[in-house]
Amino acid sequence: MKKFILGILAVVLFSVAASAQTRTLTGSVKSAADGSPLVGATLQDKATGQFAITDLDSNFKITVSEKSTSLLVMNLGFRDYNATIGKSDVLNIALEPDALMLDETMVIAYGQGKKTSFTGSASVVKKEDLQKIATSNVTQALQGLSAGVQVINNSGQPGDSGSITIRGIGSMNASSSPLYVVDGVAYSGYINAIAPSDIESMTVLKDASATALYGSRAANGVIVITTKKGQNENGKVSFRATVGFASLAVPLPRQLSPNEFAQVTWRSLYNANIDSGMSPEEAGAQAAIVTPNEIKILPWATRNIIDANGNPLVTDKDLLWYGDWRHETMRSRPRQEYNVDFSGKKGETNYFFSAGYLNDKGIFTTQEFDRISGRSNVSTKVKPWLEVGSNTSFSHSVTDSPAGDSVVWFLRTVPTVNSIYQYDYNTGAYAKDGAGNYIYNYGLDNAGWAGWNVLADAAYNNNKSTADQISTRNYIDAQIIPGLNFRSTISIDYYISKYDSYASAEYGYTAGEGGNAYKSYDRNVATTWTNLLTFNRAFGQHNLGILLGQESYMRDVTGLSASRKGFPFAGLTELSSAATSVDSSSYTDKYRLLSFFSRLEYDYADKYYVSASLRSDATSRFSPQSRWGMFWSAGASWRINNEDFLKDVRWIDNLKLKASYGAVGNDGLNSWYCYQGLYATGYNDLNNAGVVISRLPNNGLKWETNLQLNVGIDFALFRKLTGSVEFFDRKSKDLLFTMPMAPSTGFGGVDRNIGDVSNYGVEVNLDYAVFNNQNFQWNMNFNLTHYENVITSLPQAEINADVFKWREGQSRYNFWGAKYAGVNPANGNDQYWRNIFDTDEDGKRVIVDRVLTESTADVTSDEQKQYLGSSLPDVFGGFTNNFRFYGIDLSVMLYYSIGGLLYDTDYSQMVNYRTGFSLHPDALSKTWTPENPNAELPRLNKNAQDTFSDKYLYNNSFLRLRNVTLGYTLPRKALDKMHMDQLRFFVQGDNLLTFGSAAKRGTDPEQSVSGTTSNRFPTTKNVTFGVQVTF
Amino acid sequence: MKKIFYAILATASLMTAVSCENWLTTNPSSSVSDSQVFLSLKGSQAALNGCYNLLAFSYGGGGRPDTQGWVAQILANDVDGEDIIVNGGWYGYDYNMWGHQRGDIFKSSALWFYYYNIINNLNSIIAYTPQIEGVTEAEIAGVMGEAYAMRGWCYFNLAQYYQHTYVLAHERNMPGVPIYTEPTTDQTEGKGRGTIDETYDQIISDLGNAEKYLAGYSRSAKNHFDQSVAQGLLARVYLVMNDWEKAADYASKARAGYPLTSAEDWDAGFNNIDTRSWMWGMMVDAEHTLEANGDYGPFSMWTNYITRDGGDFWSFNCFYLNDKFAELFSADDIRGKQIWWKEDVGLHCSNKFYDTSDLTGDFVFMRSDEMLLIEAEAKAHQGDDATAASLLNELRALRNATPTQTIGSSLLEEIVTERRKELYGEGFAWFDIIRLQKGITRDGNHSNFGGKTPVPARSWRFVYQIPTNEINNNPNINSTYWPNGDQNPFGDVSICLE
Repeated sequence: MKKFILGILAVVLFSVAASAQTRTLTGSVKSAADGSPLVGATLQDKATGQFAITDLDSNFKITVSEKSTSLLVMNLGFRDYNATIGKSDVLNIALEPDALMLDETMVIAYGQGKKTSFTGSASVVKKEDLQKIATSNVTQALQGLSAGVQVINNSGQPGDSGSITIRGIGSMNASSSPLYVVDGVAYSGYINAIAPSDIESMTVLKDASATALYGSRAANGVIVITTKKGQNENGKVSFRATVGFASLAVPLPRQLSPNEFAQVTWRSLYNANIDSGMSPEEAGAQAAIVTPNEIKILPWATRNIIDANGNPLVTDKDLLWYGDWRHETMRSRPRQEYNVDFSGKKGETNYFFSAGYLNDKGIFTTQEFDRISGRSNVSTKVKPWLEVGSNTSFSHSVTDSPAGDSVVWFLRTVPTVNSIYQYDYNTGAYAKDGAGNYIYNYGLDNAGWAGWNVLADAAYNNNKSTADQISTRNYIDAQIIPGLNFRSTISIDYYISKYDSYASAEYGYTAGEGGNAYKSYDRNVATTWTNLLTFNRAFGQHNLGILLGQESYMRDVTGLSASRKGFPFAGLTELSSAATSVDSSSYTDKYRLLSFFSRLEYDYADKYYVSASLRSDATSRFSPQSRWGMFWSAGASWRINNEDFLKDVRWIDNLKLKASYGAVGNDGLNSWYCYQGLYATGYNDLNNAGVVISRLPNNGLKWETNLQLNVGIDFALFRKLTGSVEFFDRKSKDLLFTMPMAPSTGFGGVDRNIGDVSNYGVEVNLDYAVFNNQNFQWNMNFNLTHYENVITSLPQAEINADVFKWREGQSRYNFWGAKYAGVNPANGNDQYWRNIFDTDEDGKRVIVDRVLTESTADVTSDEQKQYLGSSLPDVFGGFTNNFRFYGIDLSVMLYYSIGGLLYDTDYSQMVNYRTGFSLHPDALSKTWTPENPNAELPRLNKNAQDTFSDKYLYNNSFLRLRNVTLGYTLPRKALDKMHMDQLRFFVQGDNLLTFGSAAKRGTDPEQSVSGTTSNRFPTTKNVTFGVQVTF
Repeated sequence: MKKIFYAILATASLMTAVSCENWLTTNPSSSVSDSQVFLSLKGSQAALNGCYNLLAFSYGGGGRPDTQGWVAQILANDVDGEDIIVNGGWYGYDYNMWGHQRGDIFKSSALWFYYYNIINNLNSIIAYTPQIEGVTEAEIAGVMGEAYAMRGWCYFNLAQYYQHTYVLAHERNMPGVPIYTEPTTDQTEGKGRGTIDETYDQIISDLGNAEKYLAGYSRSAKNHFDQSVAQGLLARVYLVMNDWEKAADYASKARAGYPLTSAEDWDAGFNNIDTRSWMWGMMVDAEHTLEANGDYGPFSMWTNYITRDGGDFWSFNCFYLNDKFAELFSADDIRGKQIWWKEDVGLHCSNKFYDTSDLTGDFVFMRSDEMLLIEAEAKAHQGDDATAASLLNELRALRNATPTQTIGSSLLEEIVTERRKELYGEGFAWFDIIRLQKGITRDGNHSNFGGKTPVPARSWRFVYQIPTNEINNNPNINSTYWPNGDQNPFGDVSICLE
């Protein structure tokens, strides 16, 4: 763009100065790849310095002198080309696409810069890559596209975001999620309100040099989302439509049949009886009597279902019903998305308007995400020195009936003996109500399932969130003198989110109280006012850039909620219709940030670049004594290939060393008032208002500082291979840390600035252009990240954090527990290693031996536990191949994660018997029986004791076929006839295949950074068909 | 034009640039600063009200219906005993003696934090209320007395959950529970267990202070403590300490003014705090119905259709009565007549507890009948069989039960059994079994529902372990098992205190 404007200026200036002895050349510039016209390409006569720019039809006209021999033709995204001036006055030039894209500009903090001159660490993900994934939340599409960025897509809930970690977890108790910046300003809205088709690029800023200007909230990295703007003088209309279907990427484990369920029940009871001292005969006979009582309601006409040896006396043929819950609840339903945009450039005005509609029905019964969105982005020059612009988006989204953890838990553990509808033993069929409809079975008589029927809940109850959001960025940019600009931006992220729930007045648990309704409104207004003064000037080979800025941020959230119960009529759900008030509440919360910042950039002769920044921030989260924090960064890079000694080495296209160091901040504790001693209101004694202590005062709390070091090398070789290798080390200082207190003090912990944690690692990113011909192109991208997390300082020797133990020198994600020693083949019991201690010469207690034990009580004390390994993967990344052959394009992306442990409670809950809950097929085939003495799992036992050990810790290496996209673009000639610029048909598949041990257990491998499961609604496999039209 | 534009901009940016500390100071709308609470009696009372809320509804961090408030503990105390059969639902873990006393299982830490959280709130009230200016001594005494009573109650329950019964622990000089009497600050370090005697000294001191402060005090509602309740608690404490004289004395003082539960009241469903025999309880309103807040409300545990008229309300059909317990009632006993046989599951059900039609049934925590039984038991221990028998028969007459003719240890046994018949479902079973050092024997049809496991007297299973998160974060309590260290042993059911 900048090139373009300069070009225009140059043309104007030089055409005036044109001298005699000239001739005029005409012609056109096209892409060698597909013959498309290139608008705005520059042509320069090397002899005279004359410029020309191609017009809307890609034609040019340039005056050259007699001495001129060649024209240098340049266009962004294409290789520079020297066109020889021959005798002909007509030159038709074809430019080869540049697979390397070295000179690409990229978005950096508060502005734009060239990739080559950047001293920090950042990676750019472009719209083409983002659009390959059929997601309703763009964060999910980032997976595997950027080194150093760990994206865990652990939700198949339409509209949910992925969990993103940039270069490890740098905080213990404060937030560890990255800062989102949309069109230059920190974003306080819903990520899923942004239509992915509006996005031009996403840039991940990873080190202090890159993020320092967002420094007060950038400790965990920054994701910069830049939306599209108009660029084409011709005006352009784009339309994109997709339709897709989803299923679970990793199917849930098979349901046990009623017969199998009776068998596991009998076996669990039998073993418990043996333990209580019965003889095998007595135990078997007793278990046979109790089994029907355990199950309670039986899907057979007899209660005599199993014999004293655990053999079924009934078959699945005798079944009165079969509760096939999975089949009834999990249906593939279409996902549709339509986007249209109008963009272009008229004189000094750029415009982009878009509208989109998305309907994503997910896979679980009534689950749905629906979004209508629109955007208008206009900028113009009002005066030669004054530019104004406004980029405003609106979105309305509805999340209907999300399937929560409890639903997934239900689907995993509900037995098939539970009928979906009430069964009438007298008629031998499902019962019907007066209207002839089946009546849902709420499990009142099913052991352990009273009140549960997810299908009935979906049918009778409402559970809907609506978000209406307006997000706007408005600026004026004034040129004071050439090179010195003042820019003021006001940004507002505004949303109202509304939650609406209703539980039936007619059916289910709430029928007794006449149903209840709960409604809440939350209003969020985040206003940012940014003022920037920039100065950029070149002095010969010296380039200088100075930025001074000030920013204030205020976020106000208010909420109102109420619930009532007792609806007199079905169909009414408004609060005013209900009889009794249950609850009502409201709140207002405020968050403020005030920042002053500066940046200095200097470079010399395209060889040496330095940048430095300094900022000061105040936050309302800390007390007046400690709310100001100071952050800074310094970075340098050296383009070695521009040095004289490498200038002639033709195979080196780019070689750059870079290093940066700096401090960024984090105030992201879970409270906005974390320094204040507080009593929470709303604790009444049933007559009068009451308050309880909720927070201890803590005036000394201050900013957490993240010290980040980045050292890297960027290279481009043989015009084929580009890449970068970077080493990073993030150290947290003054870590915001919840110092645990003895619970008997009445507090679980108090927030302090104590402890240090370090994340260090390496990132590799390689792009290789295997073929780059006009008709066949093949590009590969490979990226890899490895990082280690180490606690470097703690306020006390060790801290127990659930299944982890934090000690200096250890990862915060190193599991701590008893060491499992497998199943005892003799009796099928769990065995653990128990340490034997003795006192050494120094009087210290040391482990001298370890012996097997079957008692969990022997291994629950801390000295019997040990480190069991970390949940963090050793390496993870993506491997992508892009092919283009004539009009056909194919992209195949693999995502891999090697190493790291997963504590799979989704699985363990299904291999341990509990009254009324169904089990995993492994409970039949992999548990110990006298006939299967070398089983992997212990014998089923109703009274089994368990303790945390590595029994259910699994290596969670996995490989996923993340995406396959196949497209066909109609050739130029055909398009010209139809007056189109582009017409592309495509089909894409996400998460098509998953390999690894988790998938075999029916657990999705993508769970959480901490390697724990929680019956999450797992990610989906999607197949999508689409068409893209541009004219 | 350009100049004016810049002038406006310069002024505007200057205005924001003026760092405004006020602008940066924000306050929550739904919390109040700790410095504001104890400026007035009203504030102090609000802090006290908060404690009653915690007593009624706090989960102690457990987050499960079977740890919500004192009512959930009442249910758990009963299913841990001999008389109730649990068939499904949360309380199955307790009933099946699954090992919920273990320190690394949620329940131990939920109970622990439930009490210590209340204690810390009370400590602030006790420390700061006397400093409030411009109020009468009587007004201060009311708040102080209630706070002392609740703190005594908290320590008494902790002592019963986390150590063997007083008599055993006292003889062996066993540890008690950590005592905190000052408000916690961010510098407070965890305290050691001390001895059981120190714990009971604190209990008696707190309840004694309460009795003193609450003389002549009229409480705002029956869910608060007053002098009678403080005296009733003292009667319970002395019963546990086997101080029969004081137990009888306080039981008698406590129930003065409260008639025994009448036959009509007995059949009303135990859901009305205005019942004249109720000394202390908890009312429920539409906003706080335990039935609707989540599932598994206390009344819905009982297999009895929840309310008298049934309607669309669900009972979760979890609690039944053991057949041997059902046989204890004499033929015309009105309490026995509430028991009925449910054919389809083959179990006895009880109609003792019914919710009100709008699910706002109240709960009883102390009633005069219990005080009478304490008095009878204490008198029998003192050898005053005549008084003991006449007290027992006074109650039996109201229940249409056969009067006792026995004396001596048989009479004592009858009184203890009467407690089971009269008070089942009200939270006494577990504490009584521990106090009486009887062990748990589950005869009859328990065996069909996995509840057969017997627990011998003095088993360590009667004692919750100190929660692991306390040991991990308290330098003054170690994880070594008593008698070498501070932790209560946990092991097989048969491992007992010597």
